[in-house]
Amino acid sequence: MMHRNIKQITFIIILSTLLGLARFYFLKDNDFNLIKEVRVLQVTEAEVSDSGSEIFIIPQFMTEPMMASLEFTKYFFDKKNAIFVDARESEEFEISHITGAINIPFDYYDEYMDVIDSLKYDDVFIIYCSGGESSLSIDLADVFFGDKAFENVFVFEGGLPAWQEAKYPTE
Amino acid sequence: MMVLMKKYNLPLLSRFILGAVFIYASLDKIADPIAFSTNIDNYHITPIAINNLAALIIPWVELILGLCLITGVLLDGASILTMALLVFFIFIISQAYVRGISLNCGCFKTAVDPGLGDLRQDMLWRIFEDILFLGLAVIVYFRDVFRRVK
Repeated sequence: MMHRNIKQITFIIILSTLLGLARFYFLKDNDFNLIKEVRVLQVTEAEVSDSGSEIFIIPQFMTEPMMASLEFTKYFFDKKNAIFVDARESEEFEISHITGAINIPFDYYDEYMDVIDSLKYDDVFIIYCSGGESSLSIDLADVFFGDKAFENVFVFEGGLPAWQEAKYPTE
Repeated sequence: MMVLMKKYNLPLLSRFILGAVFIYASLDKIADPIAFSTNIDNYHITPIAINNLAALIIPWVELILGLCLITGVLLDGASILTMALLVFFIFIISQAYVRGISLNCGCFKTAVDPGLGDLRQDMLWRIFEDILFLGLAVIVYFRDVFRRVK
């Protein structure tokens, strides 16, 4: 009985694997590989100005969204020349968010198309979510950079928890 | 339970319900394994490297299980695998819920339904659903016990 069950389960799994591989063959998508590559975004590095202070410069030609450190994010927050985008759900946004941030939940970004279309393509966008486990900010950054062709898109890797831990302004 | 067992053929009913649910759940994922792979990423429980492979194989397991349950072919093996899969689904959605991750589970549709109000509430509903389905799978496996009482 037990032996028969194991044989049946093995048969179902092997058949599913073969059908899955056949589906992969017919998918013909160059970006979709059997072994998924871990995506690592390039980090923006600080430069030292003539006066000795740290400055951050937006790269001229970005080929994909870049990772923003806490220092980078605070630098542009203080300069007030970046638009902060919160990719979390609106309920989470209402509880707390980076001061001045706008909310475009990645899961419903289609509903926010009028907001996205009203943004300027050459502005600097720093997108964040809950950091760590969450990939909402990277997913939304791909929409901004890939689908909407915005030029300067950054993902704040630490997200709201890192911002709050540093005791930077929230509302 | 005895009343239900007198009135209905519970194992047969369970097989058809579970089979239909598994076939329906598999179709969207088979059509779009790329989106399903992203759904799996969002659970943050499996190594990223294996998520594409899982997104290709799991929907076919669901489809074959659905067909086996409805036709009665390989029924013992299919019902054991169904139980194992449902326990796994309950575990991964629960752990995501407890860790505060809000996600589209990708259980039936790989894309988020725009009309869906609250993802976390939806996750709780999916856990509840899977527990019900697990109950049906137990009835199928122990079908001799639950057979219709004359």
